[in-house]
Amino acid sequence: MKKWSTSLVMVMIAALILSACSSGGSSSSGGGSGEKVKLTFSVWGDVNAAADEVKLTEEFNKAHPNIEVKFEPIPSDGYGTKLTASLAAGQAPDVFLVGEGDYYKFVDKGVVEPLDDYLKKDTSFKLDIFQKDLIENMNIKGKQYYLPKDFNPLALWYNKRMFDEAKMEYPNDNWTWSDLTAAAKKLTKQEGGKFTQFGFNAGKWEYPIYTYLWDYGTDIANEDGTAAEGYMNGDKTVAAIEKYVAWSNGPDRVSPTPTDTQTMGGDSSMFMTDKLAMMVTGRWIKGDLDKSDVKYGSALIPKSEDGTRSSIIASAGWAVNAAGKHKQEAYELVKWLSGTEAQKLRSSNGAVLPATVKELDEVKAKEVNDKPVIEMMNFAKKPVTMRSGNGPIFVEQFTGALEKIMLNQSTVKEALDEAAKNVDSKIKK
Amino acid sequence: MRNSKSERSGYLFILPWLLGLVLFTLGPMLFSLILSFSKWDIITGIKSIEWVGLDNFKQIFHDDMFYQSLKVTFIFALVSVPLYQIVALFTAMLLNMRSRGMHVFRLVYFMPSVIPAVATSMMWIMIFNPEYGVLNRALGWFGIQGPAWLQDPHYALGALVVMGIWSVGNTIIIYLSGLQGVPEDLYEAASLDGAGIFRRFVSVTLPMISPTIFFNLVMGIIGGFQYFTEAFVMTSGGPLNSTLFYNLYLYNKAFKDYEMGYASALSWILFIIILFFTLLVVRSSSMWVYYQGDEERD
Amino acid sequence: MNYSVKRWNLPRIVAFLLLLGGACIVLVPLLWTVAVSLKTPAEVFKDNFFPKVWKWANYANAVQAIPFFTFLKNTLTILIPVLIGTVFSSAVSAYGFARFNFKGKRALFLVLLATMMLPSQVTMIPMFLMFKELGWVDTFLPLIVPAFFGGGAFNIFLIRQFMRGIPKELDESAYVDGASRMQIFLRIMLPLSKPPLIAVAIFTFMGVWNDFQGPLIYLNSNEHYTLALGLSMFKGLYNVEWNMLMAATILIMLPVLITFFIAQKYFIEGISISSAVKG
Repeated sequence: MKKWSTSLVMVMIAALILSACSSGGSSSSGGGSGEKVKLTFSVWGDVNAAADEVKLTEEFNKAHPNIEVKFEPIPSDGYGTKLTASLAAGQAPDVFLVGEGDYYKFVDKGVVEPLDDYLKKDTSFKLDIFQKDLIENMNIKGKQYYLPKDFNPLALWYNKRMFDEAKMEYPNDNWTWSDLTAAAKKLTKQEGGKFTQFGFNAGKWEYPIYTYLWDYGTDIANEDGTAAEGYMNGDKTVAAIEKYVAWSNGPDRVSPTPTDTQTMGGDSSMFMTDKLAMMVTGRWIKGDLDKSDVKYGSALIPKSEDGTRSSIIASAGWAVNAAGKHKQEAYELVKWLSGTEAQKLRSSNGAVLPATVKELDEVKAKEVNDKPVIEMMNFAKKPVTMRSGNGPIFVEQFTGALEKIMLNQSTVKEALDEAAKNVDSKIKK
Repeated sequence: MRNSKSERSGYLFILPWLLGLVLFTLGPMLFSLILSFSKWDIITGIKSIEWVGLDNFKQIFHDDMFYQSLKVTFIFALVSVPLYQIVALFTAMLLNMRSRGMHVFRLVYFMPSVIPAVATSMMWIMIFNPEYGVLNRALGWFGIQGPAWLQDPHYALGALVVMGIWSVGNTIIIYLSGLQGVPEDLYEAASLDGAGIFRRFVSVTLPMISPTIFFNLVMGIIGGFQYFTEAFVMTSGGPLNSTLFYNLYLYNKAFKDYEMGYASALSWILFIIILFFTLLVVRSSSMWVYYQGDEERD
Repeated sequence: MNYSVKRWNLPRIVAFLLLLGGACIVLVPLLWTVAVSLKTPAEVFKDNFFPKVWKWANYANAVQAIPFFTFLKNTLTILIPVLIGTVFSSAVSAYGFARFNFKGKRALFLVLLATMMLPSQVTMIPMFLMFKELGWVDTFLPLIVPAFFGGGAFNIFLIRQFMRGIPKELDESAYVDGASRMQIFLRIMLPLSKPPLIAVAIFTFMGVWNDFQGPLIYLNSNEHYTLALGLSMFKGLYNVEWNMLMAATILIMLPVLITFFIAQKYFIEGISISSAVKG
């Protein structure tokens, strides 16, 4: 009996040691190469995107003999979870990528290092190489916290084949929202009581809705994101939202309902299969569109009758971990990853737009489809999530109200009144 | 067999698990218990943990979303736990027939459980598609106009229940392994006594596999209350919070709002609920679970 | 179902038809997955169920787009020790719970069940903190070592249920004959518990093979990634390469299916043993 249990324990220990050796071995870092500073950086991404960062890493390491950078991409699906867990444990990468929706939140929690001091000391690097709106986007409470990796302004995308078939002119830069509505009406078709194609997608995604609200002089929050009453449920907002949801409601609608959109595989699939003529979305859509045989073009998002036009720049910014050990070196890395060479490399195959002025101008001169997209940057404004730490509360209540409205569970006024009340009571806490 | 020597070997045999419990499990459980009485903005690191006493629990009981997620989870568990057990047991009994080609059927029925939950969810989004999906097309053949499933607040939860039936493969396997342990001569004896299929099922199969039923029931309860991945991928809790499962709400609190203290408090409330139902099953088991090996109760 | 009936009578035919119907329901979504994996990206959201042109190249591309064989090697490096550790240590612990009487056994058994009741969403961070303190982050250790300590409450519980159904006279007579407890465990209990042991092995295989959360949290370096993590790299932030994702999913499923197909033969053999024992 005793002999058996001893040997059992031995077997288990042996197996343990074995597994420890097999995996532990590879993890121990080389060592012996002097006093190199070790840095890690992470991005979310797919297989294709990671290749450029690998190349940039190799070049950085060659150019900086005293620093050794390791690139650790994280699957997009798990980026939030993994970054959160590693920040909680104080194990986060020295440099990581943050999406515009999280800019303010991360600064608010003190997780991200302001770069101003490093920039001041650094005479060789000037922020004016970057597109101004983009840098402004990444400036929170008067400090520069992020430097751009890439960006995607919202623009209007239209399906050329559907316009050609209806013998209509393509959207142009003078279009107002009324022009869009009129065109959308002509492009919406029914057969036997069933919609076969739609003119425009007025979906539930909040970004295009924000731009529409701004055009009509209103917002879901006050400027510093501290009050919803009178903004989210203000008369102008209610009127604008009523017009917006009317697009996708009733027998005369010109837009699919969110249910229709999901039914047809999402707005980009509808667009690709000639079931949707126009939509407002970011430039990332090109990745999908170019894989299909759809003929498309882009234009400025329409303006309001008084000439107001708005957009949002979705962007990804490099951040230095405020809890990192080697922040100066991390700054060097951020500079490298956002610098001219990096912008050139990433945009060389047209997948993303360069964030630097000079390179962007070159693209603008060459690429017809990218011209309006780049011009949309000039009309960019900041949504509430980029103005206040309360942003997520506004978004949660607003999208909840929209869902109710679009499923016909409530009137616009009632839903927005309730949402505004909820936001204000939550902010007070 | 209760003597000091037997006691000692009993402890020795469960030693691996006991060690694991102390080394890897109890610590994190305790940590989360402490967190449930604390405020912790997790992305700021462990130094910002702050004791707040019962604040989290007080807040939870005034939280509408807490009650909503509890409701969704209870409905799901109440329907899905018995439903999946019946379907799985029935299928396992069919698959337990001795016949040529049965191994192919077993493989087919097992296949869905091999696919990662995320991929399964993606697949079902397409199947539930109101217009192009296989499901509504099939319903159409019978003249039934199918609902919008995942996009309809009245049907979304039901859709997830339906989808779960498709992936009960694991439970089927466990029932199959339980059925394998039923000695054939018991059936023969029952047949000689003139028992029909139903009679044999009630008086031989059911008591003999009652330990397996007990297992699947307990695991079903634990799994049912912790349902997460499919809702996370397919509906994110919508539409109108009709699929806001408890663990989904908890995840959002922890990883979107970064309120780990609140999430931990939520998790311990769920713990108590699951424990209660499990104890109910465990306590009642002496009445209906029959072990060939001993007469001991759980 | 009665095994002695081998003729094709009515209940048997009904049962067979039921199985056939169910199999169709199970297979249609799977067929769809295969169909998508062979389509071009533009074709994924079109009406046709089957691709117009069968793009077998998707499979070759899926293998080439990620370091498939490195990821496979990593997955196996985790899988093999976990499989050994889980099956052995859960069987040992289950035997302890099934066949011995010791103080606090019922309480400990409840603790065993209770360890499964706390959502992993909240224990994940404390676990991560603990493994970080041990210096195990970015190694395979957090994914392997726990398997040797009990192998999971689910598995212990499953095997224990089965072992308690094995007639006690068997091990008692062996004990009287002078066999040690360990000998009884190895020579009598283990062979008799084949069905649940194989079930545990299959579940463990699947669990490790498809695990996303564990490797995501504990592994940092790309060269340590597992197949499940690599697979998810086909999903970008904005767009999913559906055809590639499905091709990779099927590639990853195949080994598990083959293993199950082989294992189930032994699974079924379990029956002859238990009936022989009883007689």
